[in-house]
Amino acid sequence: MPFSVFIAFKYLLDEKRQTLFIMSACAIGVAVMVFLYGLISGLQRSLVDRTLGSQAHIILNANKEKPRPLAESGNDTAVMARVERGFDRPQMISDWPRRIEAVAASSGIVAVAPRLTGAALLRRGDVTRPVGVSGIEPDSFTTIIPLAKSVVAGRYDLVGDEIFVGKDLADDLGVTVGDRVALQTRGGAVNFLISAVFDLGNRSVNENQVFVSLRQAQALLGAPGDINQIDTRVGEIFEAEKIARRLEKETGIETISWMEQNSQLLIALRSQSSSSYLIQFFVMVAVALGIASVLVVSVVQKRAEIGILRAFGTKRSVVTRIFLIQGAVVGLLGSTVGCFIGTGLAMFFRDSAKNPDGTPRFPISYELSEYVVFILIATLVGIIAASLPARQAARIDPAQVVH
Amino acid sequence: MSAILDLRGITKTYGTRIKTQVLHGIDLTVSRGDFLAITGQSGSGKTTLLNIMGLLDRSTTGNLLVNGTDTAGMDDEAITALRGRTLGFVFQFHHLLPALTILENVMMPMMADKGREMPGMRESATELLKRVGLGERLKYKPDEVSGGQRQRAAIARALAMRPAVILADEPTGNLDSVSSAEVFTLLREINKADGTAFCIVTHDAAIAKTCDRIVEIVDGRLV
Repeated sequence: MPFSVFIAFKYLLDEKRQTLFIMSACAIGVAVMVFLYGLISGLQRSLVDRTLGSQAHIILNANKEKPRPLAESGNDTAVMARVERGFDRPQMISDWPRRIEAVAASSGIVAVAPRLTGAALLRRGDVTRPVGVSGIEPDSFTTIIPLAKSVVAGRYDLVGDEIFVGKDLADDLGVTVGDRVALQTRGGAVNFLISAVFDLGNRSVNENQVFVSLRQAQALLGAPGDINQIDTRVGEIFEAEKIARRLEKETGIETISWMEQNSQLLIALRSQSSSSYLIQFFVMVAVALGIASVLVVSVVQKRAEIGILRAFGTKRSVVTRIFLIQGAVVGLLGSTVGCFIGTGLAMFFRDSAKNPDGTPRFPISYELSEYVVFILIATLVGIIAASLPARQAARIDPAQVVH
Repeated sequence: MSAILDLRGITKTYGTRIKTQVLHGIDLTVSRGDFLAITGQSGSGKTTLLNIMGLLDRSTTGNLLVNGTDTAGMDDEAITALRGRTLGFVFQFHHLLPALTILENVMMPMMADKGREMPGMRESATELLKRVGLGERLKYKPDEVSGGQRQRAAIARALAMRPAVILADEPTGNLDSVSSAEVFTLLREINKADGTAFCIVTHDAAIAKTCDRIVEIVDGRLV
């Protein structure tokens, strides 16, 4: 064992009460950090999961046709015109199987699915509701939005004229699995058989969205063989905007990421994270001051001992190291204990308040890498906190303190 | 006999605005086997001289040669290494590290020199402690043994690096007469057996008389 480590441990063990005191201060500080982080990241993750539970990470939309004037101004003519947006003719993504392949091969994308969307009226008896119709391939679509897992009644399959309806729409119309409904478009009405009722945890989607097979949608919306949307899922959700911009450049198709669609939510999450980081920063400053003050006192108490170490051939750099190691050990062990305390506290908090459906009101989220980061930060803080007393110790002149 | 320590015209002045000269042109040599007493009244400059001889402090002017090498241009790291390998110290207070056992205290200078515990260090320290009569107290902490035993442990620590010179500042000043006699006898035995030179700062005229050489400092000058 290196001499500096040997002496550092001897000092820490010799002053057990003092060591326990600073280690406890460090543990409590880290416990607060871990607790805060777990709680806030859990809440954020839950919010993001809920938001992304019913929408794709990135959507590639067929470019909308831009209205243009019938005549343009020339060198010797001036055209006074007001361009108004008229009826949007549905635009389609051309050569979509090849484009889907290209998008799937793009880095950061983990799943891709085609979709044809349009508007229709859903009729059940005398009751009519406007709905958005999505033509999907069930297998690929559920890799984007977990629709298969969200089925609350029936089976996740679309064969022939089958349709999925949302829970709230089904309740509104008084229909269930096995019932028939009609979808009316400009081209006419088509009857469908309800094969599943889903609940995506989003009232708006549950009330206004229905899913049919892609082929049925193409027939219903008068777009045989076409799609107007490509849905994708990315590996890193917070990279979605960057990937979306890249995809737009690569494909020439207009893209929109979930981050763009939920910019207010993101601002709120970022503000929450910033305040959490600020609290964690000040907690660490308090921990650092605690470690530094105890070690400064220790240096004052051990002036003669440090003088003796120096007199008997211990270099200044080794004296510095002895105190830096003490700071590091306090940070390392204190933060390890703090991680356990913080996690225990968070778990208690999570288990003590539940929603009616049994899910925790305060979801907690941790990953092993986050613990490693906390421990590394606390160890670094311990070393930084010890640097002042360490320098003070290294400057001790043995001739002044040993008699 | 070649000098281990050779002091040439050593002066020491403290203070920048108000200057106080403590040592005035000290010339002194310490050779192998010397058993030298440095005496003088309080404030005469004995401890300052010992600190300079022990490379714990630097002179204002003059040269200190250790084994013929001038220490004037050496940096702190070189001075520390030279001090650790050439010189041993025994102070009035034992200054054993309370966190370490008696054995670890004696091993400390060896570990400081090599940067870690090396094979043979433990055995060597044990031998030294047996030699000073503490073979049964290896695992004891300093506060678990008597004052005389602590000072003997401090002597064993001073011997750890087999130094050419041991500088002792009032080594028996804190001991009762019996322990004092025991410690002094021990220093003498080591001097005779190993040829280790001793420079002993003492107030005690009886102790000084038993030394081979006596130098007296009066107002910072050797007389």
